[in-house]
Amino acid sequence: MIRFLLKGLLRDRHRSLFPLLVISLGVALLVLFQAWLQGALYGTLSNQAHFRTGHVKLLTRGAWAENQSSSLDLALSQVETLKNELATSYPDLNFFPRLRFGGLLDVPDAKGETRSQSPILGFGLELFNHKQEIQAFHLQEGLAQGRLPQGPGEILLTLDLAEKLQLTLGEKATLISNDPNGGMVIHNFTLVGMVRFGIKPLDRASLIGDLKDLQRALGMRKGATEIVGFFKEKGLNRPRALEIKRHFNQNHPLSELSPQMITLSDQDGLDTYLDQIESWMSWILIFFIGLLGFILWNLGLINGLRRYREMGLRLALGEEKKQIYQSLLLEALVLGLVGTFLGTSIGLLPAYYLQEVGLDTTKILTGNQNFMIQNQVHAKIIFSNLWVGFFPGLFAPFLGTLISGLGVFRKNTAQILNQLESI
Amino acid sequence: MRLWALLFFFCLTGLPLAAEPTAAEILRRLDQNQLYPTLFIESTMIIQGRKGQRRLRSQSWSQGREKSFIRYLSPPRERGTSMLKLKDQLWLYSPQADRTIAIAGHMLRQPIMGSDLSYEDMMERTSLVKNYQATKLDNEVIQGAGSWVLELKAKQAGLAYPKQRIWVDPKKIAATKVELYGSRGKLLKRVTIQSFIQTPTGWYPSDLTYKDMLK
Repeated sequence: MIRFLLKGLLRDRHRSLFPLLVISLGVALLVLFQAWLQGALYGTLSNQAHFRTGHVKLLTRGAWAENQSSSLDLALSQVETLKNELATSYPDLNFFPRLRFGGLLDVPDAKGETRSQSPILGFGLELFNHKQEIQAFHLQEGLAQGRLPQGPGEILLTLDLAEKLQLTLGEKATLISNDPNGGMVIHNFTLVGMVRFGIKPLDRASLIGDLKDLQRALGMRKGATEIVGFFKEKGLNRPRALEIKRHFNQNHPLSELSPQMITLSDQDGLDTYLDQIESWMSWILIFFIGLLGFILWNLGLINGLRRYREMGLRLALGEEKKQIYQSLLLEALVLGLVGTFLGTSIGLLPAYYLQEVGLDTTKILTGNQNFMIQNQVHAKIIFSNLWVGFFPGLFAPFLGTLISGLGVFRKNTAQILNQLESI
Repeated sequence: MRLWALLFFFCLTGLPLAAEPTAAEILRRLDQNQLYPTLFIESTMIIQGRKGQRRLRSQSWSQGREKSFIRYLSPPRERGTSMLKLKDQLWLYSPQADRTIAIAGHMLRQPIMGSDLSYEDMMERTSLVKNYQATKLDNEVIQGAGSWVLELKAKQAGLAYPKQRIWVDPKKIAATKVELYGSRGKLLKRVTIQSFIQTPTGWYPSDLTYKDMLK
């Protein structure tokens, strides 16, 4: 029976081609749209977590209260002890101490006097023997020139900053900053690599070095401005992050320099952003599924109504009403199934392209941008892309046909004879 | 009778009957108090931070308003660090990095050695008469003594503090308190002078507190 229907659909293009095209196109757009939303919204969140907030973050109460995450006088002390305590208490997360600081980078001329200068945002990361931090900061992928630091006194700069300072690989530059007591720090470093994050706020003026090396330079051997924690599996788990935060904070004192745990949701208005993402994603998808369903349902209805004459003829030839109705429904199912498969495949192709290559947003997003939005926004293909098209693609035309096909039961002999006369 | 009553009132308030100097005259005298052909100062700066107190000892030499040199003597981490100011340029030398660094642009707003004093504040030691227009406000009593209060407005754009308010000790003709305001009228810094030493030309502050009011 299905084989017979397939033959009919293939041979009679009036019956199959247009509905198939509409179903495929609608499903393809839905799949592409879902993958794009997923990539754009969660990609921004993922960047925010990797570069800034972690899934959870430890900093001093003073730094959190005064919103001074890069203030060295409010930095955490005894970081190794804290890290070990965290690793033992919460084994489902990986923890990394980081140093975030401000300063000025000064490039000398041949006489050792200032040739160029720029303010910088410094990051001290566990670069030696810790691949996870290199991965979190996308340093290997972002390396535009040179190599990653391998020993003390070596730093990376963003390509934009190095170009602004007219600094080339192997040249020395002097970091001017403050130690935790406010004392002046003047320290020489060698540039060994240049990176590009593809994120405006970071690309403007970032300096990256090894944590221990920068701790020595800034006079804070066991200190760090923060310890970020990431769930080992499946990314952010909001309820668990909240549970960890409550548990940690209950067991630590309330002084200005004592550690305080915060979650990703507590920072940069991300709580609202996360809620909005989840709500937007659901509503936008419901809207699109609804809209596409409505169009395809109408298509099923029109298709059914268009074929009333054919039904009359088939009834006149002796086919039973129930049999005709069943064949119409089966046809709708086959069309929906084929259209959804086609549409999903077609939609996944541009989604894959956008996942791998991305879309340049530098010309779209202008102005002072502080959110970690990548210049190249990528789509993200997820498992639900494979089945999301089935709701509207399969069920809507089926439902349309289910209603319009009922017309066959209202046909009487007079109508059939009338229709036969007009043929 | 009325005249006697008036004389008696002035004697009680302690203010001289003779005409008070004008705002411009007070400003000229304040300038005179701070200007010396050559000056050598050995000082200790106490910086109060979150993690305690730091004491920095330094020696400074200056010639007029345009040339000055400071060398830090302690603590060991800062020892040998020097600053040279020539007209409107400032350089820093660090023996640890063996570098001479020009202090300009963004760096001028940074605090010196973690204090509330910025490099820009150091560069602002220019003539008040030349840069500001003074208006005299109502006299005030500070620590039991009457003070003249001047409001200074910048004559030209580009100064770090477009507005200042200065409390002047009428006996010494020396500032006892200075408030420095930003371009939007916000109080940025307050300087309080606790004691002075007498010099041949006037009074020079020997103990002062510099406070960043935004911290």
